[in-house]
Amino acid sequence: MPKKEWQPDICNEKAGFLFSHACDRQPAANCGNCDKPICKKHTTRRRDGVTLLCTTCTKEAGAEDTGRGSSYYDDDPYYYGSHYYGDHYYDDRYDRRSSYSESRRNDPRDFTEADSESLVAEADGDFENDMSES
Amino acid sequence: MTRRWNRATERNGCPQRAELVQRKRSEVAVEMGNDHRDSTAASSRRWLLYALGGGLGHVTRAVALARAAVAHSLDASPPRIWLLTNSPFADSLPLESELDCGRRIVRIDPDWSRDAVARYVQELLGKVRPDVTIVDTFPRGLGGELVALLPALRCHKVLVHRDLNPAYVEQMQIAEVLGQYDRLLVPGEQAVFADHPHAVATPPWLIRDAGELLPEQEARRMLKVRSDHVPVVAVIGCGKHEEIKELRELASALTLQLAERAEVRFITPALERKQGSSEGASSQVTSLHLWPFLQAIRGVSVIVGSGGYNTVHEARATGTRLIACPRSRLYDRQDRRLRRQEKVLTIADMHVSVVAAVEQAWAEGPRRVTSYPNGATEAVAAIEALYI
Repeated sequence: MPKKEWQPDICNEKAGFLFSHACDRQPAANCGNCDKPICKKHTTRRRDGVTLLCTTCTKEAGAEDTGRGSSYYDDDPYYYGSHYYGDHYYDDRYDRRSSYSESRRNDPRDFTEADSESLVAEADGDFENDMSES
Repeated sequence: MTRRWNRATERNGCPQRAELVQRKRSEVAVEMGNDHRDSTAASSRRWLLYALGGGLGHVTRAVALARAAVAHSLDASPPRIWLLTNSPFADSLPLESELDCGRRIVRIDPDWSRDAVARYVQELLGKVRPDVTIVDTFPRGLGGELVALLPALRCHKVLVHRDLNPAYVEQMQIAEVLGQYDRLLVPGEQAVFADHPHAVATPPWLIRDAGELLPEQEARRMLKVRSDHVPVVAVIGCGKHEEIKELRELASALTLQLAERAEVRFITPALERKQGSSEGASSQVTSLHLWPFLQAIRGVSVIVGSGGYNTVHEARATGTRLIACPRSRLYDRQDRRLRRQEKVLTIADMHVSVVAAVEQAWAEGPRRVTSYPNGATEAVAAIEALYI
């Protein structure tokens, strides 16, 4: 990867779900691949347990190298059971025939693999240390 | 700006932190003193609502429960509520007027460290000596501090048990701490321990009962909409700082795009700076500091936002069209909460969906918000059943 000029005092990763914009956090490390200064939130550890990567390089490295893949939720049983009120109280307002598992199939708006990966990447984190999380 | 500076210096260990802790301690002490003088409240149970956690969801759900406790208590006198929050929005919310319990709203700084929070929670529990401690979402406490405190706590212990990140459940061995709780309340969503013997499921908890919603025209006035018939799109600017910024930009773009077809309002609990020229297109949007949003929902045709608990359940309960983008959270799983017909993932899809929803609103005409159950009332009954 060609060397780029990075700004040293801020995280150089892009943030944002709908609109891409600069992340304004303090950098905690440099990407082991492209040397980009990155904050803790945008840092991923490679399978070797040592190398830290930015989000962009993580995606380029692929799930295999970072231990993250699209199968994280595949066997997750949590939402395949009945919702307390869901099927009876709420779903009638929208679609009597739908259930959560049915609605996941063949929907062009469903998460892509990359979307799923980015959500998992942030969700598998440093529990009980960040007092701003929810 | 001053507040931000103070927080930064607190983090660095400067005297402001100690000062702030001392101020909070004093407030609780004053409140305890007032309670002892309040003979009419002497027989009331003390409920401590532990609503720590970022965003607005934890504190809003706690307020919903507290309001229901005051309105629907079956006890001889309603409980006295202490509400603990570290929401970054807490300073801008009219919590006192919502609960009418004065200084029993305990706001702690969202930037406090895990250790500082743990010390404060321990001290607060010791001073309040609650009859019931109600913990929202985090069985071990937001920082894990409750693991050590719960066994020694001589009161009823209730967990508000929602869906949790399975990695958190596994890594922190959440199942092991559940035995400390006398009751698990499952507020309208599937949850991993919903089949626990102490679990009681309720409909979603909402901050207003159906009968408390403003009539449509009054709601429109609150939203600063002059027309009585133009569809209203409410973009909910909540969550993290960058997310609020994104949603404000979206509201601005929708304002331009929808022009005469709809009135777009940017609704945020965050206190915003006065818009300057540097805000560019964002200055086009009409921004309202409105909380709780639910009170004005009858004036809204389409809600645009994220997949947080309150946004989603307020929309569903009132039959309001929701178009939402799931956000990544450490514990909450918004992508799982949102249904296919509510969920969008790209800005292009967001625009298409909102435009379609506005046209549908025109075609359908005025909508009627039907009644809905508020699970907070059932929750109060389930808690009071522990001691009545």
